[in-house]
Amino acid sequence: MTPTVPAPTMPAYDLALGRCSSWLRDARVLWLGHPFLFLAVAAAVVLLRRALDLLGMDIFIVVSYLTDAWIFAWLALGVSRGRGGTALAMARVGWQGLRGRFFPVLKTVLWGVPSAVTSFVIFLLVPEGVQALVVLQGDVLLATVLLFVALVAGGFISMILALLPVLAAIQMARDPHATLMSSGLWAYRGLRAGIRPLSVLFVLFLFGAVACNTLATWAMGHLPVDVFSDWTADDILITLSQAPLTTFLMMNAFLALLPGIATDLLRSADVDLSDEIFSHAEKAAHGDAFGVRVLERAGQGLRLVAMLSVVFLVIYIAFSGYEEAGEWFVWAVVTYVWGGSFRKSARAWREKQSWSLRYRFLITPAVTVLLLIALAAVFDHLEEASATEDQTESAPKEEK
Amino acid sequence: MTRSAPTGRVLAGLTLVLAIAGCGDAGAPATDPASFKGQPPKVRVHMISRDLSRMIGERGYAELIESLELQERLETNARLQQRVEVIANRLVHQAIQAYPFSQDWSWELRIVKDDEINASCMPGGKMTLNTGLMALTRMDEHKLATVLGHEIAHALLEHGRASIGRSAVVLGTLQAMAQSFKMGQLRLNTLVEGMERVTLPLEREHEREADLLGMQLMTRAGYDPVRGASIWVDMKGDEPAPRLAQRLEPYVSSHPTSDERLTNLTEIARVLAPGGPAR
Repeated sequence: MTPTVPAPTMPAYDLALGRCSSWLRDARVLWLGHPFLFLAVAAAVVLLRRALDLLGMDIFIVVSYLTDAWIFAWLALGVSRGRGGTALAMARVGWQGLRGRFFPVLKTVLWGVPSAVTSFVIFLLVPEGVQALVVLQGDVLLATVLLFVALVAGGFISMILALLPVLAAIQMARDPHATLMSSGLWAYRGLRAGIRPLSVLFVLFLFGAVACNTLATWAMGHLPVDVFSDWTADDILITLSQAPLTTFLMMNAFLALLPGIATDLLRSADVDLSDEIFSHAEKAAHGDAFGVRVLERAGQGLRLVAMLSVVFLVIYIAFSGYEEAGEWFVWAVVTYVWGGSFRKSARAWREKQSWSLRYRFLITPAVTVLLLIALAAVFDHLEEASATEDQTESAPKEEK
Repeated sequence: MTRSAPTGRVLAGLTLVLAIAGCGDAGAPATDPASFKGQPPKVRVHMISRDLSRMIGERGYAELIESLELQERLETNARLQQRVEVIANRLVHQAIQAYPFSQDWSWELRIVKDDEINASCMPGGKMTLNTGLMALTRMDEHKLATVLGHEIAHALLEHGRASIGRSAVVLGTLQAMAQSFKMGQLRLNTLVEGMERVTLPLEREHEREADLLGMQLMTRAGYDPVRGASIWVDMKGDEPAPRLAQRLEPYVSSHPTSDERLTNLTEIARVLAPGGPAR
């Protein structure tokens, strides 16, 4: 019997829940084998981000996304290719694997943009949606429980999406033929394949973070007060709420888990998109078809979000008044238009139209945001002019 | 029905984590106005020590006063200050009797020139009272005693200490998760805002506890609880909020609704008033 060749647009492998325990076992062995490597890399990642955050400009924070892509890709390559050697040997293997791939790896950070936008919209809309429910239904306890559950679910989706650029960076580093599109699709398919063990991992991470941070907070909160003799009240509160020790420990866990997760997920994605099954031409065609489908779904999602926003808005305006209604409405319209541009881009990819039509889903929001900034500048200018005029008119009266 | 051992262990572990995370938050609320025992709050596992909580309160207050002084927003009218201090001192006397650990607090009150209807008492006994609130009460000493008693009750019941601990656990956990999965500050902020709303019921419970103890303190200090409770008539104002907006208020506010507080305080006042069941 001839085995059926799986199409890339078919659902990817579905990894079992139990895979999570093998990731954890693997991470434990790895960390215990090379504790100083993970302590050092975790410290470097956390300190680098902190240093960039302290510079206080968004552009520097963006830099940390770029450095993270390198660090994660370097570590995953080093561990997967140099396993069994010393920490130094693994670091060297990782560096050699990354050499010549620095810029392509950096580009995969772009996969973080749709991830960030989607999870931001989830976190923004969930409380608004629950609020609308309270207005209609009136049960505060139900709404609070629902909000908590929805935020945890949103956190899970965010974690999955946040792994997308990380896996894309690792795929880009490990596959010399990978492109920006193929690495992202690989990562996406890998995440779909591992959704079940990843959900277990998320729950474990969440409870681990709560337990660890509770103990760390208690320990810090019960240090002799002399320790804080030179601190301001804000310093103490900020340090308590930023949980540096927990962050550092969780980062260690994440780094130790990452190589195992990445290898497993990317291998699962590879099964039905690999060169062994498809020629490059077939792979490209299937990859395009997959990309078109992702664009279409993203467009539908955005339009749905825009429509839901308008529903919430109507509820507020009708029943309780809403000061930011105008702004909210503008963003709903922008989101709806953006969703439409995804649909048009998908068609352009399918019909192999010009690049400007194919990348319409990126061009439309950029142009819209520029337009809004220009309009805001004009309005500000007009307001300032009118204020100056008012002042000029009222000045003589005051003198009198 | 028996539960398998691994499942039982997992559930026990999760319960323990949740129990630890919840520690230091609201204890059982005092619900009986007549049962003023003058005891320190129940033993709770707090996330931060009493000394650290006091240090944060005192330093925060010193920084606030310094900035208000620079902005020339501290009331300098000595007569006004003295009138309010008389009320505060009587309440503090009762507070120390009921909660002896507050004896070595350096109690202090400053009036802030601010139209916002607000007052506060930080851990360590540092109080502020806004002129907006004084205007609302028209300097009625019973109403002012209700407000100051409520704020002092927050400090005695160590609500600030509990809130700092809870925030540290919630925010710190979110921060650690966000850092591990590289979630940007913008997303983290929206998540934190949502999660803060989840913890609002605990804040509202603190307010109810402080309402009760505050009324007990002011009554013992010799003020009229019935007149004091009527401050919520002033707070409510004349214009009722839209009907459905009223539904939203208990969900989005860190305080119980004005209607609920008026009802509760009126009932507490009825019990505490001369001739009431508590007398």
